Amino acid sequence: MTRRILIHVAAVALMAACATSGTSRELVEARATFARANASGAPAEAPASMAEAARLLQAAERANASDARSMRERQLAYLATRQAQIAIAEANARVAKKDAELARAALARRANEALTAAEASKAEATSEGERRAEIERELAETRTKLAEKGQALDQQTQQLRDRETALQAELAALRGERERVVHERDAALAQVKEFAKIQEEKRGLVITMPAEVLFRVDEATLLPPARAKLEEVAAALQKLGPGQTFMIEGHTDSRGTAEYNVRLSKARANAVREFLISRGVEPGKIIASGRGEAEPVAENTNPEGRANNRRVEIIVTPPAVSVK
Amino acid sequence: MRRAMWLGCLLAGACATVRVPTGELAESRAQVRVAEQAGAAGDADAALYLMRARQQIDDAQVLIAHDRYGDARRTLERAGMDAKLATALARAASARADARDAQRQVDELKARVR
Repeated sequence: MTRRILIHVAAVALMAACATSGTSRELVEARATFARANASGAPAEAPASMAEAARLLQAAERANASDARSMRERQLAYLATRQAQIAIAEANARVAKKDAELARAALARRANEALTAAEASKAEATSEGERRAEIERELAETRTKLAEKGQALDQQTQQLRDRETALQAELAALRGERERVVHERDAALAQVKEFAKIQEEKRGLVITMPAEVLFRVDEATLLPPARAKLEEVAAALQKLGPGQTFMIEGHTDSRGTAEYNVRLSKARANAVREFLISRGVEPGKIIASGRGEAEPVAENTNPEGRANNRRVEIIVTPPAVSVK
Repeated sequence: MRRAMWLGCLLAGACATVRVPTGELAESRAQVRVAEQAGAAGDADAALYLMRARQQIDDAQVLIAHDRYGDARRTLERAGMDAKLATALARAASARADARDAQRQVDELKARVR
């Protein structure tokens, strides 16, 4: 609509320009201002005002055509100029309003974004805070458990220490006991050592007495002095404690036949056994055996050696340690 | 003489030059008030046209006093348009200031975020 009016106005203006009478300065100004308004954003942003300006300019051109530079032409041209200026001003105002709206929309968007981000980070902080609280709870629980375990371990340690102390005391007591026993045994055997050889061997405690001390040559009857000595042996054996087993072994030198020696040594061992039983040794705990010449302790080639071989051994075995 | 003219006008139908332009005077005064309320005094361009409008209203009143109603009417018509232009310019200035303000806020926010 505006473009059509413009063309029409331009046509009228052209006609007026061809007229010989001239144009008022007001009309010249009106045309210029209208052109300026048309070239700006006014047709798009303020169409109504532009249409009114075109109408006024058109009227001014008609007035100019009919009566150049008349009062009517100049009045209408003045009004047209003002109207065109109004259109320009309105267009400016609208453009500025749009810019302000865009800016405010951007602000609102950013404010919204900031709010969303703030809410998100707050939520994150909250959930993080919750996670932290959860972890701290677990930590506290674990600490409590550890403390309890620690206490239990302390108790255990204390108990073990107490047991150790008790065991040490027991050990000391047992050692003392053993020493006492050994001491007693030594004391008991001290007397026997006067006439017998006493030796701790792998097979047990071995009390060795020469055959001459106990028996006449070739005989298996205990000599009276031998009885006295064997009494002491019996007493000592008693002191060694209960549960001991005794092995009596008779030995000879190599003179004579092996059979004869076995018979003799066996008879002698039995004699000793019977005597010890009569002195209180349990029969079930004492065995006699004749070894003959089979186990010499010295060379039979000289008198000394042979004398050493002629012997009776009493082997004392302590009671077997039964594992309960 | 005037009364005769007035009667004649009634009959002829062309009464413009005879009628006292009280309506037009009120109208242009109203337009000036609108311009004042729009803040025309605060903008340089608007204030110029506001002043012109007021001046022309004063001129019109002188013309009315001298019974030159036709001239007065035309003067008042121009004054009205001047006042309307002052209003439009004042509103445009206000809108531009508002846009500048909004843009400043955006720039400030951009600067802060960075």
